[in-house]
Amino acid sequence: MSIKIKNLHSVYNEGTVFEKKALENINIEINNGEFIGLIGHTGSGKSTLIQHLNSLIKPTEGEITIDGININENKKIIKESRQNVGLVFQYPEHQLFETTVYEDVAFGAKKMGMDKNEIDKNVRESLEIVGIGEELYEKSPFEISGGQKRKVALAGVLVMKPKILVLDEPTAGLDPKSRKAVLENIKEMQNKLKITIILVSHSMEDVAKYADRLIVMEKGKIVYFDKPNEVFKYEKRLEEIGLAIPKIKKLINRLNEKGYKIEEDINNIDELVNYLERKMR
Amino acid sequence: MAGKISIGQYYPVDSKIHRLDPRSKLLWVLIFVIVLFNIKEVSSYIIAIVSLGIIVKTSKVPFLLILKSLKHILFIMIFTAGLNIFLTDGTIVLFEYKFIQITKEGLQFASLIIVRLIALVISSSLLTLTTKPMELTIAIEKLLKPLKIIGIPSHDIAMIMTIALSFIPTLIDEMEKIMKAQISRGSDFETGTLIERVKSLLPILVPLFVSSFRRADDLAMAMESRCYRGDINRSKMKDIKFKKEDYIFFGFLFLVIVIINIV
Ligand SMILES: Nc1ncnc2c1ncn2[C@@H]1O[C@H](COP(=O)(O)OP(=O)(O)OP(=O)(O)O)[C@@H](O)[C@H]1O
Ligand SMILES: [Mg+2]
Repeated sequence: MSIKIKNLHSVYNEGTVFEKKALENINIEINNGEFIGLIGHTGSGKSTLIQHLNSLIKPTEGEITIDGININENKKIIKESRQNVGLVFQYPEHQLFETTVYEDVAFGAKKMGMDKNEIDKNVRESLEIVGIGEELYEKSPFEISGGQKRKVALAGVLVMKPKILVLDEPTAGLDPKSRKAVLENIKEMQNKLKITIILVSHSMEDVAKYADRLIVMEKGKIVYFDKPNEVFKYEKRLEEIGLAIPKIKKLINRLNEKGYKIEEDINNIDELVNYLERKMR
Repeated sequence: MAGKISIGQYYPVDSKIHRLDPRSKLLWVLIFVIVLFNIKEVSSYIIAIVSLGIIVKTSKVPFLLILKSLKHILFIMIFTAGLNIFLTDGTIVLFEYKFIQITKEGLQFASLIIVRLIALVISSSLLTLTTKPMELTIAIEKLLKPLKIIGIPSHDIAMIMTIALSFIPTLIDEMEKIMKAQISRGSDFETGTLIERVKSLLPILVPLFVSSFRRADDLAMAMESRCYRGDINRSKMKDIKFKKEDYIFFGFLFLVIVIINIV
């Protein structure tokens, strides 16, 4: 499914002393099946923006369409679009409430009115995707580890079979190994399910490798919306915003300044060594 | 989170009223309410209201914000006014239909009640609008201190209040977040039968309780690891003091009360 956001403005507490402009003139078009990285410093409006995709916040001005349909048209469409767009919040493990892992994952599917067999099939599928084994199905979601909780919460959104999956900092508070595992998992999921993904993060290092395009936000505005390698050319400006580009890209920028003309997409130090060896021959 | 709005919440500007010792403001609300419920003459009311107006003006809090706090008691106001209009016996009948009777006395009494209620709410919301919750709890602790002799744990009461107050915004934030998350998962809090709606609260209440307990645990742990033992040998980082302004303030109040008694 494709997303189109047109002239979106968003203001919190409009008309009061606490008024706060959170988004200004946002224009985005996202194609079906794309992997988008949404990056910005703390408070730049990332969470505000993605909550609009689920009508949890209504635009102060502007319009959001998914496959050509305005998602805020009426109650029925809002409900449908919430099924199409799965939103995984920051620290999703805090939303678990059911008595067992299985029941908690099933919650969304039940609410969508699926029948029993379908619910069972979807619950098992989504738990498998996130890597939770059957031995945990009957455990209480409060007695499993933090990482497992997060996986269960993610499965709780996948169970609704969203065509667009939006994740708000899914790696926040995880150790480097789990971070990588979660990201690999998401990428794999996208390849398997052929869904559109929007991944929110404030670390370039995390998303650069997986995203087809990056949206860079600052103070409620979009600064860049382009392929990662194009975005990384603006190293100085990004640093002003408080974002550091991946170290390898920094190195390549330095080399290019020194007169090398590296055009290839290089993502780690091994690739760079190979490339340089080839060139120096 | 900054930027949340809630009625009666501290309004951050600098004014003479903001700078007053919170004890003065607390005592003022008490005295004001007592006076308000003991006066009967219209002229006394006018003086009391004018004094309130002067304090509101000095506080630099927008009048509109104060009026908003009245919204919450609108129903109570209409209800009590209605009761008083229809149920007060009087001699001068203005309107009569079957058993309904509106008298001049009834109208007078109802308007007095309304004025009292409005003044009551305005004065107490002015207290919280111009005083940080922390300051207020210090004030309560200090005012209750003499009662320690008869075994009332003034410090503990103040500490409980402080913690409760500082957790309210956090809990509201948390609730909002959980609600949004469950809505994304298909929860619907607006439609359905009463039982369905009560049931739909479960996905919010359970996580909210879990996180409250977690926070309480963390806080208790943090307090204990810093050797918190109640108020034994405890000093305050921010103390409250009676200043020149407070004497002026009380002078003003005294004047108002004297005038009310003379007129
Ligand atoms: N409920 C709210 N009420 C008022 N202001 C808000 C609210 N939520 C967010 N804001 C403000 O809107 C701005 C954008 O916030 P948002 O949560 O979208 O940032 P973010 O990019 O997700 O930050 P982070 O990386 O810290 O999650 C911030 O300045 C924030 O203070
Ligand atoms: Mg955020």
